[in-house]
Amino acid sequence: MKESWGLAKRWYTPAEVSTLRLWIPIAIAINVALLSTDWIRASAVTLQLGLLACGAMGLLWWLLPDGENGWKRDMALAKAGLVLLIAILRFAAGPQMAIDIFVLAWLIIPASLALVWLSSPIVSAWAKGRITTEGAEAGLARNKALSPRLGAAGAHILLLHAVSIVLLPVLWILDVALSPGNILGGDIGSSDWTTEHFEKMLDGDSSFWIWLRNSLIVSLGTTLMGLLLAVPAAYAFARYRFRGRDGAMFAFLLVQMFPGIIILVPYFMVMKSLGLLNTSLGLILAYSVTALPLCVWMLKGFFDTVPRELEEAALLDGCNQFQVFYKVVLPLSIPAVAVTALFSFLAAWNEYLLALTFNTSNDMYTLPVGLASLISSTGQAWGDFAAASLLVSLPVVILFIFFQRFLVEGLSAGSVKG
Amino acid sequence: MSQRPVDPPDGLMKRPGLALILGILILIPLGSVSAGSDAPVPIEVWHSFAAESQEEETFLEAIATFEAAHPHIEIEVTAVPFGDIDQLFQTAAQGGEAPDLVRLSSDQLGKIGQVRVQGFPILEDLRPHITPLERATFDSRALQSMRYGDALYGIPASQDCLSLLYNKALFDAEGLAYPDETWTEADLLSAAENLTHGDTHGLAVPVKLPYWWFPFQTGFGGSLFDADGNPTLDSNGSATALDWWFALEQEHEVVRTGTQVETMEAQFIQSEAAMIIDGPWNWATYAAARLDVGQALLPLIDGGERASPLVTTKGWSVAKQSPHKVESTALALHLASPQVQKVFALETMTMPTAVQTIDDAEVRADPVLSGFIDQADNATFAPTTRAMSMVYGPLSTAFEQAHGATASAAEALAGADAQMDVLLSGQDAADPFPLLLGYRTIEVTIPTQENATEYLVHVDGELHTTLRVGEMGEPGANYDSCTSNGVELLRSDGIPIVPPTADSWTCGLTGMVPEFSHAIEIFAVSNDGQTSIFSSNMTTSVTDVLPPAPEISPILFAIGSIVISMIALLCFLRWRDAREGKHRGKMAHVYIAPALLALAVLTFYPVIYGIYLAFTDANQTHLGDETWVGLANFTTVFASAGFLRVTLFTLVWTVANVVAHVGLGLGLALVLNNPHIKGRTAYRTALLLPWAIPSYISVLVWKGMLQPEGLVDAILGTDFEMLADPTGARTLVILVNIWLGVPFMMMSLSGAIQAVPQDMYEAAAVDGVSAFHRFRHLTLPNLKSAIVPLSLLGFIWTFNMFNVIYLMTDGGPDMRFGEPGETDILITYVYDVAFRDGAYGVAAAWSVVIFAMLIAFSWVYMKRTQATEASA
Repeated sequence: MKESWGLAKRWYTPAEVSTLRLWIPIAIAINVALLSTDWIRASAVTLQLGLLACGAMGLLWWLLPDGENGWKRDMALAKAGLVLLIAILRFAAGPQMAIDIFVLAWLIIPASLALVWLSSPIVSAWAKGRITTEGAEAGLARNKALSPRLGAAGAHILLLHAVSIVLLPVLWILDVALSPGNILGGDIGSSDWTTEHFEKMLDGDSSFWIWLRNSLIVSLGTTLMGLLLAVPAAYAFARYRFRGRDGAMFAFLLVQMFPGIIILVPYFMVMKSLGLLNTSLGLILAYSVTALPLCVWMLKGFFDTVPRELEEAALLDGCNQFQVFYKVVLPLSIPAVAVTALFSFLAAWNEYLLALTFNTSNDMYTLPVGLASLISSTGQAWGDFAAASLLVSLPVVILFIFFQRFLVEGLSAGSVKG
Repeated sequence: MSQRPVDPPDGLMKRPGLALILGILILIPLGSVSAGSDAPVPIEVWHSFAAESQEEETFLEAIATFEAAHPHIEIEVTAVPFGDIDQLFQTAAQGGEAPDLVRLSSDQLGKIGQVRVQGFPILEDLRPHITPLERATFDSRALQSMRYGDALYGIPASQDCLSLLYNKALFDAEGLAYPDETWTEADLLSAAENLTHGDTHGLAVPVKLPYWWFPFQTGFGGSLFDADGNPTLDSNGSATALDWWFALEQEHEVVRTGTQVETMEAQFIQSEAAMIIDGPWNWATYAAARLDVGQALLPLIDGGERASPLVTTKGWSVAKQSPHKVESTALALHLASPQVQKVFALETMTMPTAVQTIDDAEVRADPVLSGFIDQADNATFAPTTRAMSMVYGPLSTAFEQAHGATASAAEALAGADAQMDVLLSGQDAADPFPLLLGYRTIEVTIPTQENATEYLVHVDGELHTTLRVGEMGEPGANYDSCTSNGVELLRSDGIPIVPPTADSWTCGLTGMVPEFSHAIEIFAVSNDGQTSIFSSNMTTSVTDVLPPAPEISPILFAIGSIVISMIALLCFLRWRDAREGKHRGKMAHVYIAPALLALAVLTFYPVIYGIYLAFTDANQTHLGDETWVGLANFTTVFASAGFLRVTLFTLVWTVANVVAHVGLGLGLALVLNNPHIKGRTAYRTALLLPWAIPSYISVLVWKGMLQPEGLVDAILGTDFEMLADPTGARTLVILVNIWLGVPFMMMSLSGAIQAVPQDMYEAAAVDGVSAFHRFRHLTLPNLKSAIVPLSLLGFIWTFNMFNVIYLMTDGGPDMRFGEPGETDILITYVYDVAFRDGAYGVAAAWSVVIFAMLIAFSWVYMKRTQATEASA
């Protein structure tokens, strides 16, 4: 009895405690980052209080109960209370703007959670070592239900933070695109909204459609050609040992290293000699070559993870080399192919310098160059430019949504990899 | 397109001379052009008007008018982004693909004028191409601004300068009198102070930009250059002007802290600034925002002069390699003709350079145009010299130092002046390119007539040149040559003066069409009327000399040999493998061949050429004529001030970025891997946006948010100019690049996580392994095959990431003269060296150094992580 008692106890940690163990370091990291607000404001008092609070939280984390030493829990509760106190002091000492409320929340919420959870009966019992076997087993079952929810809650919080940082400039661009007039700046959402910039861009006569057509041709071409060139090479690097393998892999990296600005003129001459100036094919080739290193290395990495046994089994079944590749390796590498395709597409879609230099007539301009030509010498039509930028991003976003399926699911592991 | 009807100018009937000039202007190009063969002549024109703008429309109408009048000329128009047109033109010229006609500004001419490709300049000297009367159409200062040295490289079509604009409503609200031409700088200051309250400021100017300060430097008595063109940045009064200028923001606070060019318009439009120093180009935007805007001359400086802004002109230039220079010049003259300039003025608020347009009644009736024309009369034309094009670098550093109080205004300006001397002495100067003797010029020698007071030279029935007999005059501007007894005649208002004692005079008549017979008649005018003293048909048969076209065959040969060597190498390796009995990978070399060959064809030659350049003294003043200098450039590189600092920051920049990209990307990918979260697709799509949106605009938006009046300072309630502080700027460029780069890593690692078999995790969970240990010992090793190449490539890309720093800070703040800025990384510094100084050999040496650093790092990294092997 005693052993099984110990076993259940040993494997049981209440979900709340393990969650705290994971979240508190993250909270500390975020609070340290938020200390930058005090530093920019050059406010010594709140900075020191903030540091104290971070230290107290660190102590709190260290003192989280481990199921044996009851005193730890009491000390942890005390620390949590301390953090609360310091947080409130700090808030009172500084300007109470919106950002300060946010900073306060990041101190108060973890501390309050710790207080609440650590004083709950289940956790208290466990912490003081007074848990029974049945209690432990019940606890494990409870964990199974609770853990995922807590994990999801934490994930949502983090993701929302990330998304808001990401979306901040996007919202601004959206605001400029929807505001009348052509200025950069102004408060978000203050003026009445209009779709005039979008209309101007999407108007039938506007060159936007020409740019779009060219960009689509070039980007899709790059994706296809990039895959066509990279897939066999990656397969060879993954599967075979041959003389010159390391050197060839290194060669793909080499050309990324030389700063492109200096070699623009000779590159121009190469394109001219091959008759590829002002053509889609020229840009497609140039972009494929730029994207090759990543494509080759990523695909190789994925092909590496496909077990050889599967291929050998297929060979034994009578497939030839090509069928082995097509039926066994490729389906398992769909996430890699998706990443590679997306990357090649975007490398071509957003590239400016080569498109500008190699295209000498307006009807070959791609979107980035077209966008740049909206800029005049004396200032910029920001409204039009913002609207055009959002329109340029739209196909990419659609592509993302489409590709996520391949990225995330691929073919479910388990049975095939077995 | 229909032709816009042009009203005849009011004064034309009263001034027959003017009508004559008008007639000539239309007819001479017609005459010269239709003289040629009837084969269609294709002309390529590059312009830099903003796409879909009113200016572009007006321009295209002018082109259509010309095409209608010249059916055998076909014009192809290309719109080129304004910021890159000069670089693009240079690249195209070096590659033999330059357009016939291109629109450039006078400050760009200062740089392009130095370029020599195989000994030839890339722009055509237009002096022999235009007649004296055509020259007289233009304001003489505007025409002079298109000259580099003696060569005339462009026909001026428009000019720009700054003036004072004010918001009448805000003035009325305070009961203040509007600015007028009696205002002094003290009046300006006091009005601004009265108008500054709450969110409103009295004046909107970007105090850190030298271009806005120039008027006041002149006003306080200083000047940029002396009469010989030597820089005098610290001339008397400059320091006082700088102190007064910065005081506007720092002491009197009539200017909002950290005002930028991009945001001062917004400020003015939203009535948050009562006055702005701006050009006429935004007038339409202000009017559209329903502001009642007035314009006044920049103020007088007490004890000094009137503040005098810098005028730059924009004009049309003909490429040296154009095979159709006669037609191109005709087109240029048409685009800069008074009629076209008038349309531009009235429709787009472009200030004219044609004398007739400047005096035109309709143009003068517009208060804005009229006001700006008056301002241009009280302005200084920027000299089109190398020094002028280089002045902004040292001046920004001086501004940074004086504004941040690390040096006094006097010290900073003295430092800038010293730096200018260093820069100018260190530059190669290209020799002036001699004119082709006799090209488009017919020389006539006429014995003088007694009692003649004037000589009129008519060509093809129209007046071409007038000479006057007299004594007084000044040395001419060297546009064309008129001599007597071998001595250049003096000029008065451009008209050659023949001394009464001369026995003959000789003039080179410009603007002639080669191989076309021109009827030349010369009249002597005396008190008894005019008599014809010479009548003949003359021709000039000197034809144009085109610069040699760059040869393609050596490049094809180089590419061919690279391809053949590559194939030979692959075959050799395969043969060696076969000899040692390794048959398993027999197709391997074939599989990698296409990719390797594509790589070799496109990139090996340029890279090898780049490496070659590093060992030469390649410079824009003698392209095509490099000589081998061995390691001299590398010595320059390693010995340059700030080399260690910029390398160190590049490493910090790269490592911080890659660690953050991979770390945050992995973190987000793991979080998103949790199947219990709803809405993962939405989250992922949102998190991928920084990658989807063109980085040009997102970086500029971040830059805007970090300004003192931007979002971040508003949230924090501070006024801190974050990007002006070196540490702040460095941190922020890194943070913005992290924002840009995380989505890609997140997506790639998401894909990689899918490849990790899931059953391990369940087993580990049963065994009681904690989340952290599961991650460290299960997930991480399996991701190695993705993380290693991603971090390696990430390192290489970030090391050479040019865009972000260029757009956010342009390497600034520049705190030290002649050194890289505080946020410069190696590649942005290389760009400065290559394109601002034109020292391509040195820039190539820097590039080779970067290349070597990256090779060393990658090789070591690859070996240590056994990146070429599969994961364990």
